[in-house]
Amino acid sequence: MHTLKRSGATLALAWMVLSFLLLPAFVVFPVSLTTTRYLSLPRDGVSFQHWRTLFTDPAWMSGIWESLVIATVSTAIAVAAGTLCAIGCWRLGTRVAEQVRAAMILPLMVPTIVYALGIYRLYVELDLVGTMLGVILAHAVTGLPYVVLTVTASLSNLDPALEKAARSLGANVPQTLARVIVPNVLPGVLSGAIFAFIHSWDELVIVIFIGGRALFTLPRLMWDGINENLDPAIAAVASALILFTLVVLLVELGLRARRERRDGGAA
Amino acid sequence: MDMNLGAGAGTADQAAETGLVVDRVVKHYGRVEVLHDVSLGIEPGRFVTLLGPSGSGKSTLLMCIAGFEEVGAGDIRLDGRSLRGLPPEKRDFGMVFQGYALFPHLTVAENIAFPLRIRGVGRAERESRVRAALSMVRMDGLADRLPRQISGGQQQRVALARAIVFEPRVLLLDEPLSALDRGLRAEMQEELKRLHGELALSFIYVTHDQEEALFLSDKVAILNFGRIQQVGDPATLYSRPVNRFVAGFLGRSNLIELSGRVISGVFIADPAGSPFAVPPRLEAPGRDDGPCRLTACHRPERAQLAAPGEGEGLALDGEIAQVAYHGTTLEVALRLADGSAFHVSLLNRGVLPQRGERARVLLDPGSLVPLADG
Repeated sequence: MHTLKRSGATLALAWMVLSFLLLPAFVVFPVSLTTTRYLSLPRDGVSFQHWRTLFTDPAWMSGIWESLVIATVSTAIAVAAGTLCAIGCWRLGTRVAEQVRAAMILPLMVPTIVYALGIYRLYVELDLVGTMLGVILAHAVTGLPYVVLTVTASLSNLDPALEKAARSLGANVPQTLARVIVPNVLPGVLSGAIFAFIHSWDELVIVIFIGGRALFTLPRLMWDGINENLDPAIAAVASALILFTLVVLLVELGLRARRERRDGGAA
Repeated sequence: MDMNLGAGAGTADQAAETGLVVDRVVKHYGRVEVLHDVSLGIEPGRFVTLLGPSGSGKSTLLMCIAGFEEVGAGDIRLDGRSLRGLPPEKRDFGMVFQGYALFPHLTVAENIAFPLRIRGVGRAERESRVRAALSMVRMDGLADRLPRQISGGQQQRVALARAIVFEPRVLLLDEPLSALDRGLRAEMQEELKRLHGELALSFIYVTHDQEEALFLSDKVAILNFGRIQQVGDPATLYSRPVNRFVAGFLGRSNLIELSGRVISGVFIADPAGSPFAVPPRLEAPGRDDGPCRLTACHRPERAQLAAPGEGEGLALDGEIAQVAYHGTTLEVALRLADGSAFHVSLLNRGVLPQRGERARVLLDPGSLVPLADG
């Protein structure tokens, strides 16, 4: 094995890849500040009129609101179910538990469009098409893998004897869960929650399939807007989405850094 | 009428019981029987050790006592009351684990306070009891550390404090010292012995380390293949093992095949049926009169080395095949006339037997113990 030399060529390649990954996402920022009434880069000065539209137009506001409600509730469901599932599998530690864990990851593997199609057929029967509850449930299921994965990772460092210790000291199963297991996997639960939230926040395919004509989340509004007109407000919405996601990710990074500092200082 | 009387007598017996009683416990994992008809009494305040190799069922028995495993048949009772169906958290048994199992998110003091919080003990009393427990295990001053900030030995002390702070009815210890290095283990053994003396609490201790078991315990139960092989105080177990397994597991031993006959509880070896110059007589209670073969066990340190032909009594003649020098002791292997080896452990008095020399071994009177499965 030989170490990779940091030559000019490899550095340039690295920066190119990075730009290719990041720049398309950030092109919406200047576009959102354009003075024209169509999608373009600002040429004669900047204007915040499209941002104003975003926060005054009732359609966009209700989109933001719907997205927030759906993301929050579906995340709560995914976190509760995913955490309990991961802890249960960890406690059992059998082959069946391993299989259950694999099944939980399945929503991540199945193409969303296939999954959405299946859900649509089911929801027609259940009369859930076009309801907020329907989208929340679907997002809770597709958000589940993130929680199961992160909590399982946290649990892998945990001594299985902790549960026995807690119970021998007088804690029943719910007390053991609440006072010993969950506090120790909290970082994993938080990471999972953030991923599940972001997943629901920018999910489009499922909403298109089962949102019917009643539900317009932010991504759905953008999709319809792009098809029907070229209003630069869409760029403002996109910028807002990116900013929001960045904030959430930074919070998670901050939490992780704080935790590592505490652990590092402790060792 | 008689039936009623019988049942009544049974419960009266159980009501009079004190301490923990393991009563004919059977336990299966699937079709594998891991505990076979195990019975054991643990009197209040005793230090009882379950000793056996891995897979002997000793840990399973401890988990049954703790309530983490259900017994298949039989019963476990504390002061005459059955523990069947009682979950671990309701048993009030302190427990110490091999990996310490301290809660990583809580400080030392919070770990020890945990069982008191669960029991709703008020803050002032909680703090004073945590302080008392900390000083009991000599850990004052480290109350605010997190478990990962203290050493393994210290963690085990905290685990001990946490397991005794709520005044449990019994303390269960599952190989608590096996993760520690040698020096620390010796120190913690002393510590456990001291704690047991101060606490008036029954300790049930699981280990595979025979020296640890002999040093710590009032009573040792030796298990193998899910069966209790022998129960007794360390001295009895060591000097009078009942079978080959105990003789081999607890210390080293010479096994000698003898043939002869039993006459009213005394075994008399035939002159041709033993390697001894004078055929030995052994107490063999419970054996039927008549011709019989048996295996006798002898501990290597219960013998002296003498010059050929010197000394009387239980004497074996042979040639010195090997001498191992251990400083305080010498381990001498003798080859007997029939080609079998006989081991003698001698205190080093400065005289080294030489390989190839003829020698006579004089066995201490009473040091030959007949084994049940011989």
